[in-house]
Amino acid sequence: MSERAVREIIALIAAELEIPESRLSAASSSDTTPEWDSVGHLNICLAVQDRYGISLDMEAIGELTSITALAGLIDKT
Amino acid sequence: MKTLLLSNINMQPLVALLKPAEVVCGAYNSILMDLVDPESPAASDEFDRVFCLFDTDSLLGDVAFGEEGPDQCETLIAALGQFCNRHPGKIVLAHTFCASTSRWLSFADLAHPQSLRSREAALNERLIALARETANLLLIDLEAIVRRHGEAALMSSTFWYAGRIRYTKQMFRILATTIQQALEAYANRSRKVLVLDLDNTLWGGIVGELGPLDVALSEEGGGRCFRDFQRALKALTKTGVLLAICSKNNAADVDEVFDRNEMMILSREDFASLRVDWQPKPENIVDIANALDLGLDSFVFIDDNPVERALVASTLPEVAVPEFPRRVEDLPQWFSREIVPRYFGKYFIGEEDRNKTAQYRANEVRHTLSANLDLGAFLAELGIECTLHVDSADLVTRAAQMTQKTNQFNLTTRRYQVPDLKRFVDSTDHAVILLDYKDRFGSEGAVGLAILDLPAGRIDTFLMSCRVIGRGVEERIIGKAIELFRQRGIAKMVGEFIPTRKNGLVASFYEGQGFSLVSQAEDGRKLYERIIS
Repeated sequence: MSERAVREIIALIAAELEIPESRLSAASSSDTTPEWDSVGHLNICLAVQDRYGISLDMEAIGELTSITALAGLIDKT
Repeated sequence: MKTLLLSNINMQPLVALLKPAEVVCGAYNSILMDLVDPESPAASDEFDRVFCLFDTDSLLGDVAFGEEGPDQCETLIAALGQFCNRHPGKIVLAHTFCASTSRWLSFADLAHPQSLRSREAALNERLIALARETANLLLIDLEAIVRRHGEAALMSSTFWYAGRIRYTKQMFRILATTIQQALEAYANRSRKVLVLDLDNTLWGGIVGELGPLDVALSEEGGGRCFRDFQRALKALTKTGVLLAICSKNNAADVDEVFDRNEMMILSREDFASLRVDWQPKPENIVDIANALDLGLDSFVFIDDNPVERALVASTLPEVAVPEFPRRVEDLPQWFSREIVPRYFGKYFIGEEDRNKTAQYRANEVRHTLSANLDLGAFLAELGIECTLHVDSADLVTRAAQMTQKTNQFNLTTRRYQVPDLKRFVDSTDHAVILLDYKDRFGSEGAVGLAILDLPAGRIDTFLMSCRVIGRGVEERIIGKAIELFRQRGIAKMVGEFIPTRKNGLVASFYEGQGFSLVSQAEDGRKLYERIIS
C-alpha cells in the first residue's frame, strides 16, 4: 500500500463524508469513523468507481470498509 | 429556501451535488405518503421546493413482469396533481417515467397488449398533460437523459443491490446539472442575447479571403455543420433569444453573403444588431448592449478565436464566454446540448417570444458609450512575442503563399511565386521581412510580410493576417523596414496603396504610420512618403 494511495483515499473520503482530513489516518475504517455509515460508504464507493474508472462488485463494496483496503485497491489499478 | 427530496430509492448521493441549495432527503420510499398526507414534511412551510425523483421500475412493481394489476404510477400522477394544487406556493419538480430496458416479453414487448413500452408512453402522456395545466409542477425529461448518455453508463446494478442506489456518479452529476438548469429556466433567469462572430463560426473560412459564395456553408459536405448551426440559431430566435453579430470584416463582404449566398439560413432580419467593422470586440459588444438597452450580464459571446474570447472575458466579465468546440463538426450538437440549456434554457415559451427580434430591431436606441475598457492592459497580459526574419531562405515558400492568399490587409496585392521570393532574398537590392507571432494562446506562425526595394527606399509589399490586427504587430515590421533603409543610407521611405475590391481596410494605413500623402491617381492609387533620416 503506497503513501500516495493513502493520501488520495483520505482526501476522497474526507470530501465525501464532509469531515476534515485530519480526522482520518491510514488506520481509519468505518468502525472508527462515525460519519462512515452505510450511506457514507456507498458514497465513497461511487466516488472511487468514478475517480479511478473501475467497476466494483457487490462483494468488494462489502469489504472495502477501511483506508487500508481502499488504498490497496487503487494501488492495483 | 429549502428543498425536500422525495424518492422510492436511495437518492442521498445527489444531495451534495445540488449545493449550494439546501436539500434534505425525505423518509425512504415514502414518496406517495408524503405527497398525500397533509401533515407530512412536504406539506410543511419548512420546504418551498419538493423534488420527486422516483424509480419507475419500482413503481410499476409486478406490472413490469407481465402481471395485470394496479401499479403505483397512476397513484403518483394523481398525488402530484393534488399536492401541487394544495400548495400553489411550492415548486414541485418531477421527471418523466423511464422504465429500464429489461423486458420480460423480449421481442414481443412492442406488440403485446401488456407491453411495458406502451404502458410507459401512456403514463408519460398523462404526466405531461398534468404538468401543462399545473403552473407549479416542473417536469424534466429523464428519458432524454438516458437516451443521450446510455443506460449502461448511468445505471448500476451493483449499487442497486448493495444499497438501493440506482444510478452511477455520472448520472447523479447529470441529474444535478439538469435540475439546476431547469430551475433557472423555470425562474426565467436565462440570458437574452447571443453575440456571434462570423468567419469560422457562422460559416467556414474567411469571407474576405474566399469570397461570399465560397465560404464553407452548404447542404452537402463539411459546410453542412455550419448550416446546421445556423438552423439551431434560427430556432433559438423563436424562443425569444436575440442574436447579434460582432465581426471583424469589411461590411461590404458580409453584406454580399447575406444578399447572395443562398446557403445562408439566417438573414439580416434574424439579428437584433449587427457590428461589422474593425473595432475591438468589447467596444462593439458594449455598443450592442447600449443599443438594445440590455445589461451585459444577459450576454453570451461565441467566437472561434481564443484571443477574442479572452479579450471579451477579461474586459467584460459579466459576459458569458464559452469555449469553442475543438472540431467544427461538433458545433451544432455542442450548441444545442450544452450552450442552450446552460445559458438559454426556457420552460415557458410564449407568443411574444417569437417576435422578439423584430421588436428589438424597431426599438434600437442609441445610448452613449460609457464603457471603461482597458485594452492596453489586456494586450500587455497577452504575452505577445514577435520574431522578425530578414531574407530567410527557409521561408520563401510561406512568403510566396502569403502574397498569393492575403487580400484584406494587403497594401499593394502584388502576387509573387516562390522563384520571385528566392530572387528577392538573394538580391542585395531587396529585403524580405517575415514576422512570426505567438502569444500565450499559442503560435500563429508567420503573420506579416514586407518586401523592400532598398535602393529606391520603397515598400513594395506590405501585408498581414487579419487575425492579429490591433496588436502592434504592424509597427514592428515598419520599424524593421526603417532600420534596413537607414543602413542603405535612405532618408525617405516610400509607401504605396493600390486599391482592390477587398483591401479597403488599409486604405488609410500609411496615414496612421506617420507617412504623408504625396499623390493620388484617378484609379485610387496613393503614394506616400516618410522622412526617416
